[in-house]
Amino acid sequence: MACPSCRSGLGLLRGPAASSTLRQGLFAESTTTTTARAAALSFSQSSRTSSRRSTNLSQQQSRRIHTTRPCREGESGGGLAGGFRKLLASVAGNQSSSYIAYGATQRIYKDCAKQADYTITPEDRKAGRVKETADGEEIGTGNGSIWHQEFGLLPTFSTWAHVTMLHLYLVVVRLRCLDKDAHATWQAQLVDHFFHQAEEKMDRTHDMSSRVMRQRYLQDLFVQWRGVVLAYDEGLVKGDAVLAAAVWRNLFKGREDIDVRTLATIVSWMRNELKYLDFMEDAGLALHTTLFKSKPDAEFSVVDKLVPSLEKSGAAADVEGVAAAGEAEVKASSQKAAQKPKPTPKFKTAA
Amino acid sequence: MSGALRNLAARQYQRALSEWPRDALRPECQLQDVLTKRLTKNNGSLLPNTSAFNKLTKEAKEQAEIKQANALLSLLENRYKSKYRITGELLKPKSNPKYYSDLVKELEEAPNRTFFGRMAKRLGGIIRFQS
Repeated sequence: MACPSCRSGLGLLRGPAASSTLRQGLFAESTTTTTARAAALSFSQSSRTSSRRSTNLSQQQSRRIHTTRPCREGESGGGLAGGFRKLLASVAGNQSSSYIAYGATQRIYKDCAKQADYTITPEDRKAGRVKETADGEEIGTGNGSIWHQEFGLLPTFSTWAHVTMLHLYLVVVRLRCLDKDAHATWQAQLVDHFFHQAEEKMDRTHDMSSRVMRQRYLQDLFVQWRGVVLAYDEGLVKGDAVLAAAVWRNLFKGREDIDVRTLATIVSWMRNELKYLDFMEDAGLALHTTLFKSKPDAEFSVVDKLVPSLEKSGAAADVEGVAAAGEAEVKASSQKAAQKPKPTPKFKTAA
Repeated sequence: MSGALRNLAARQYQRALSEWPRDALRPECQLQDVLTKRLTKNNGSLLPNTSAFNKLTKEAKEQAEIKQANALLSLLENRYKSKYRITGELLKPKSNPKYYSDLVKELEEAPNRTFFGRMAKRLGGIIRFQS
């Protein structure tokens, strides 16, 4: 009955007294509901509201029934806006920010951890179907990510840990650019999330109920984490060859049958991500849904671009599939590649 | 791939691996040593001995060889460092501007430290003064 069309209908009722009493009754009803609602709010707010309404009752008889509360600016804990401000303040190194950093770093950590995630179902374990590597590591089922498919890593705990640490390392390099306090808070929280879930994985996925065993593995993992940060920092500063060697030693565990093209792809992806993080504002750490611009397979085209020495030697022509044998033909094909190639039909077409 | 191209690739591999930077901190675990050993064992082929590569055809294997050599040379010429060059403040972090210069100095000094030098460093790390 408070909408304008209904209220205009009130004026059609016989006699002004009837309309005024009706409006009074309606207004009284809305007052009681308002005060009932106000009672649920804080004490100071409700007393303010009800006192304001009682004095203005007579004055507002001719005005519309519904009145909105005026917007109170500068109110603390103002819902979404207040939370947003606190989040940004935490990145700037606010003293009370460690609670805010917990949630933000948890979101960042989950983004890192899902990259090479894997599972071992309890049914498989009960049925004794869980396979092991030569070193005794349990092999689970991967989530189909590039790390398990193209890069040939087995879906084990150590693969998951190293891929996660690689992503965490990229974030840590960016976190170093915050203030000293904010950097300490955010990095500590991020690493805590990782170790917390690592222990959870050992317990739940790998059925390691002994706390002593878990503690021993966690200490080993911590040493690996510190080693990873040192090695990748060294590679970041010194060059691509050193970074590739670091990735080989840590992520691929220094194995002999390593694919150099894979190493180059991962190095290229790491440098691309670091450049992206370099451009990111501090607020982006708190606000972006993901800190990673792309997946490593986007770098294959960058890696496969031929170096000048291989291009000159006619390897480019060879890759196009020109049949060549002997040195003379290699030279000729490199000359031909410079000219426009004439298409030679391999099959006789009807036309 | 013709024999000439194969010889050229083998020579390129050997040159690249000899130019690879030596790691003073991890002398027993060097990438170039492993790759050189693989080269001599497989008669100048850099392809790893995995199932993914073993089931390729002859032509595909040759193309894969070129890609491996190309990857090796691209890492040596620092292609990715120059393509994705850091232009901002990432290498001069606000929390500790001397972080990377201290790291490089430490990495140079660490392999040559004596036993007492290492003990002194460890004690200094235990007793740290807050600035």
